[in-house]
Amino acid sequence: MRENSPFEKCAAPSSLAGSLVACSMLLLSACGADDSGEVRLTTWGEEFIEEGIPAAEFADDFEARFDEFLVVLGHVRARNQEHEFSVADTYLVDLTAPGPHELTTRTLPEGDWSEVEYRIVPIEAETILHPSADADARDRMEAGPYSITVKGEARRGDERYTFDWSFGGTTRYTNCVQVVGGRQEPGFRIGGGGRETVELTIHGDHFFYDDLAGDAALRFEAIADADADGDGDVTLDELTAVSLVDLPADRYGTGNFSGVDDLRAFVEALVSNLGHFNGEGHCLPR
Amino acid sequence: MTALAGSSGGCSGSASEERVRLRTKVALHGSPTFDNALGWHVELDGAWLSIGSLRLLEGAPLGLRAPRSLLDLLVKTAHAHPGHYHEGAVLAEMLSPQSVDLLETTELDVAEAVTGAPLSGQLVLTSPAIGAHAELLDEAVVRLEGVARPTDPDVDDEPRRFVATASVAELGSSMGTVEITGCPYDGGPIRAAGTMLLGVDVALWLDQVDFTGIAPKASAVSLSTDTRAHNGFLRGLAKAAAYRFDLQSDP
Repeated sequence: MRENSPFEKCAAPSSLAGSLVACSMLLLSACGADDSGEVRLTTWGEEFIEEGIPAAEFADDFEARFDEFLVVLGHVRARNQEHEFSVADTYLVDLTAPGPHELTTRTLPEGDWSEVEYRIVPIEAETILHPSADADARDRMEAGPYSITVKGEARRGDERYTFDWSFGGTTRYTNCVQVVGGRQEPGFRIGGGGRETVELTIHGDHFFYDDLAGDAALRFEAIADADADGDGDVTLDELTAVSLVDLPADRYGTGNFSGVDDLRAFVEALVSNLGHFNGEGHCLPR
Repeated sequence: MTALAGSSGGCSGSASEERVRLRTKVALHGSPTFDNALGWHVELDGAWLSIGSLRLLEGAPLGLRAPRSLLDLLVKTAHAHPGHYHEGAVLAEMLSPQSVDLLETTELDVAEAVTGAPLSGQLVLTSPAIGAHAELLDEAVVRLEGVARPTDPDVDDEPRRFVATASVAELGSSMGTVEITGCPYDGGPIRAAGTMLLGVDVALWLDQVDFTGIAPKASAVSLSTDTRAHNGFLRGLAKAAAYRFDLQSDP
């Protein structure tokens, strides 16, 4: 932590014992109640992860539900022209538990925090185990190490398929904007004495998008068809065996992604688009 | 399509934008001889494309590249995302259709532009083709001719002479045009007159084409529609990564 930063004196303790590293690029004269406010950091998988994705959302009449949706996220940074702060912690959260999930609360100088980013990362030794996840989940994530594990089921009539997929890799979600009244606004604003919630929203339905660019529909049929051994469980190896050239030309387009030539690579590319900001807000994934 | 920024009807123009004109050139990106991912060595004899328009846009492509400056971060609302892609304002556009031979550099009509920082490009393919290669292209928007040989001669050393074509209908459009948006842009900000370049990576078009089903004959065999090889070709054509835009400043 930067020494003698006036901002340090304002930082409130983390609700999950996480460390907030904050610094001021310009010296602040004071941190009284009038020129600072609270930011409450949360994450949520919304109804699609907690309750499932109904058939009406799919273009091929499947419906899906998640039994487990483990994600390691954190490394939140926000800055404006005068200040910068970061939450160095990462949290292992199971988003199938009812949310939104509290991560930490901090006090920040008031103003527009227009540049915000966060990361989904492979689990780290210091990753904080959120109450929604248990030690067994942590052990399984550390075995990768993984950043995301999704376990669930998709159904269509009598058809039933399960999946249990884990992914490593880091995605950095930068330049997050929130959608307010139909307008996109970068980052968030803290009013003096105010309290603002910043939600790292995860959109689980994006796992089933059928295009990496442009308009995409939710589909599961190609994933179901990948079940080569017919045991009803679709593995990542089975997805690897499905070349995209064996799928209809008008689906599973890869846009500007290179090297995405099979269904596993396609789903892995979709992982980078799970992260959102304050609901329907977007970030630039890298 | 969003009007050119700063023009009548454009919504993102500002007093600080200046109008400039860009020459426009199209050429092959890379070599006409290459190996694809499925074990074929390809030599192109011809490559033709029916271009309807070219644009440079504010929206970021899906390739997840870094913005160039803090100002870009704050001003642009370009958040590439399936189902949520925002192409942003048009900063340059060339609207005169032309058919081109990709094995040579072709200069197209001038593009009208405004100063600004593009992040992606857009190509529109149009049918029927017009211009020098319209008769050869006929109803197709793309035509390739070449020879493919297995990269492992121990497996098979028979050359496959092929012709690959695609129509707008095969590319999923019923409108006579196909838009390929979110193409990578490697240039810098538009500050003054210069040249907009489009490099077409034909190797990417054919990267997932398995020529096994093409009979080794003296004359060329067309990639049949509804085959795996043609599907791979159509998928390659739809890849935004195959169309690389750039900008060259005038000296």
